[in-house]
Amino acid sequence: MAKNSTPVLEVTNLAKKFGDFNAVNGISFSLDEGQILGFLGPNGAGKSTTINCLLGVIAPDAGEIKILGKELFANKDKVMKYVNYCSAEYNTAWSLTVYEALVVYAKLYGIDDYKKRIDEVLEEFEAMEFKNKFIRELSFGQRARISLCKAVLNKPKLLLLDEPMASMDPDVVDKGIEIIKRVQKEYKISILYTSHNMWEIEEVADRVVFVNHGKIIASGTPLELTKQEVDFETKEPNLREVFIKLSRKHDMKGEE
Amino acid sequence: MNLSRVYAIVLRHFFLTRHQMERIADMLLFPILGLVLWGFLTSYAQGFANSFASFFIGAMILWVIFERVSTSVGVDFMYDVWERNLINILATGITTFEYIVGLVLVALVKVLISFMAMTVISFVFFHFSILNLGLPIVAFWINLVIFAVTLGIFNVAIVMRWGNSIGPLTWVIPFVIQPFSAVFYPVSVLPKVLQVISNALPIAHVFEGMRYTLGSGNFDSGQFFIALGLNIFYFVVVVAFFAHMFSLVKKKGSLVKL
Repeated sequence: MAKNSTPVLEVTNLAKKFGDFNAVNGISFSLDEGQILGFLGPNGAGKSTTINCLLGVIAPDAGEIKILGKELFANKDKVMKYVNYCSAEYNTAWSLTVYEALVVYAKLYGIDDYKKRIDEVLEEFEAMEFKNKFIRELSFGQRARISLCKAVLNKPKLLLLDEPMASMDPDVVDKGIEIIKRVQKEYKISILYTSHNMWEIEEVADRVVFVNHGKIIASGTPLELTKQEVDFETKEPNLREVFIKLSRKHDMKGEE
Repeated sequence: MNLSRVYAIVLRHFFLTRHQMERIADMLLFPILGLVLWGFLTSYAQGFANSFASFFIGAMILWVIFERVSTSVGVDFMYDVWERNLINILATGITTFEYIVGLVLVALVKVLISFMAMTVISFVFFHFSILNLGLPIVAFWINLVIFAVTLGIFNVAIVMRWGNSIGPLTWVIPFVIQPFSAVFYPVSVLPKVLQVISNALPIAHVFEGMRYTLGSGNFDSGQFFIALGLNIFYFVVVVAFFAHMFSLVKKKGSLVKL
């Protein structure tokens, strides 16, 4: 893919400490237009803290975040119009119907023709049948689809997906990935994607960044990382093996 | 200020209210029941002291304005915390100012509905019209709403900082200050030491002003300006406190754990 002069996301020396714990320890990475970056690491590696910094809800101790060339914290109200996210951790408004919740988010993102746009995203994620149902009445998988509808509602330039399909059965994940890939191509969305399901990342990511103890310890395409860490001769990516090797290697180094 | 984002917050709570009976009861049923209960009691007591019923019913109606606005701002914020929806809102371009303005508008709409219902009920059952206060009622409203909003912002700040467990204070604080607020009796009834606390509260001056207007038909501008001055002072202090707390929770990372 041709590299755009201004990355959609540019993170430089980002650092965040909670007490004595270094959650994020000077990481730098960037994301170009239309690229999907897998953001991997074990539990507590600093992935969610990084994403929360990118959403502007955690203030970093040091470093810089630029979205569409603009410093995030100085331009949050302008920049966040082009950003969205989906996380298994946060609900969409539980006590509202799907349509009502999406209307509220559409207004928050300043979407003009919101009725048409809501129908479009519900069609895209095959969720039209839930339009007038309360979100609390939906199954886990259906709710995740609604969260994804919310995530692409504003046709974001940057989409942050923090384990969007955690705890879902493989069939739902498979369908979800298919839809995400389709929508991503259609709108040329740049995506930062975290998951503990390595197959999910192999399916979607152009590049992968591996973090542990708040630091980036490896990066490359899924195949490059597999060749580098597992088997130089391989022709197929195997991020599961990469994940295990890198996590253990780094933890042992940490113990030494 | 982006009005679409403020409207989104209003819309969110309009949809919530439409689906939740307890919010409708909170807005209409409880204020009316309180008014009817205490209204009949004071009508009975009217036989012992002239004007007592009108003072009491007027105070009831104005107290509801204060109490409902202050709790509404805090409780509506907590709804987003309870539903784990707060980050979905704050991770948009919305500013904290727009979010708070949205919550205040929701509170004002709700209290306006409560006020209208109570005005009608008090007229039908007790032949008392709060509107007989005339233009001064606008002045009372202004001071009550400013202080209620100030308290509401304070509630949001402490819940944000110390979490849900401190949430019940949202309902408790108005009733803690009620004895010092001269709602149902004048400040002069209180012991000297408690009068100091009363005089430091803007709403005590509002209720003193209301009793003066109901009794004499005139407006006590002195009480109005004292209340306004105190309100400005508390508002500035609480907004600074809120800004500090918001910055702190973003630094500590506790906003995402609410």
